[in-house]
Amino acid sequence: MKCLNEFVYTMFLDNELEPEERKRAAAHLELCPKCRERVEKMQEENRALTTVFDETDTPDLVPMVMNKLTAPASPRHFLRWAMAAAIVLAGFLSFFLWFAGPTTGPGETETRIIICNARVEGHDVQSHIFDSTDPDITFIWFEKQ
Amino acid sequence: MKNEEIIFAVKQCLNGRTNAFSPIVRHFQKRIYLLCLQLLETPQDAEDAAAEVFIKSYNALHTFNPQYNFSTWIFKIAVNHSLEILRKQKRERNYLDSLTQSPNHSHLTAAHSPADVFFNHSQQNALRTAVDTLPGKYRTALMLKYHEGFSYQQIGDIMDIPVNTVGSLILRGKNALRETLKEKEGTL
Repeated sequence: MKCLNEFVYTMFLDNELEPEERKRAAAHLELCPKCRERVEKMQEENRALTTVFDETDTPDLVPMVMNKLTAPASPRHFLRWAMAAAIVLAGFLSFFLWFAGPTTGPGETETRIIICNARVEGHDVQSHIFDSTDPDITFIWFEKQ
Repeated sequence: MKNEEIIFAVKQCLNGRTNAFSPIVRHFQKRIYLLCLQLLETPQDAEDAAAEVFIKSYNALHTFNPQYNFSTWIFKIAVNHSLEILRKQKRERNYLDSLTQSPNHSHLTAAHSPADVFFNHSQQNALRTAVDTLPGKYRTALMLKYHEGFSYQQIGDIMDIPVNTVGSLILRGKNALRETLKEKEGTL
């Protein structure tokens, strides 16, 4: 049986061969001392590679990350968030005024609460619009989920 | 930390308990830092990037599907984030190079300098230095395989490349390592 190439032996050692191919490679290794020696060397290299990355000193990231996560949002961040929310609201209001204007006749009143969900900078934002024709008032508020 | 413990901590975070993220950072910090170090140029870049990876992951926890492996998910975020930084650094460097027209030696950090190559005599140190000289994609594939023990499929998912390419990267990376070590043997 012809010797197998290095790619096959790399996959053999990495447990990436299909069962049939694996059997074939194992059978060849039983019979071929040259390939066996080659695979043993490759195994040594793999072991060396397992430990070579461990030698690096690692900084402690926990305080840095947790401080950032628990710190209150910066004014700049809030401003961006508020601007994005205002844009979402403006879009929604345009839609609301265009398609859903009051349908009441004289002397009738109508009250509507419209809830709009959006994602702003990775946060779920819900805008609530309370609209009434008597008296003619509209409240808008946001909730960050 | 087992995957179930991680998923429990993730649920706590999603319920507003930010401190539940702390054990996750502690558990993954070394591995994420090492991964960033394979792709970026300096330990400081890797440290900053790793911290940003955890913050990005925290903000994206709601997108994590508990049916999948958390390590694959967070490693993918780390690879994407490091590549994003690399692209940004490359753009800035191209701009600066165009201004100064000087040759670019910034990839020769303290750990990669020719002096270190000369003074590292032990086999393991030589291997470490040889690994440092490999292109980032080879280092990343080798680290994910031999340090992390991921399958080719998982590495493909993390690096966003086909499974066959993972095998080629690993084989080429190891061949390049052998070549570098052989050259060093000749010079030492």
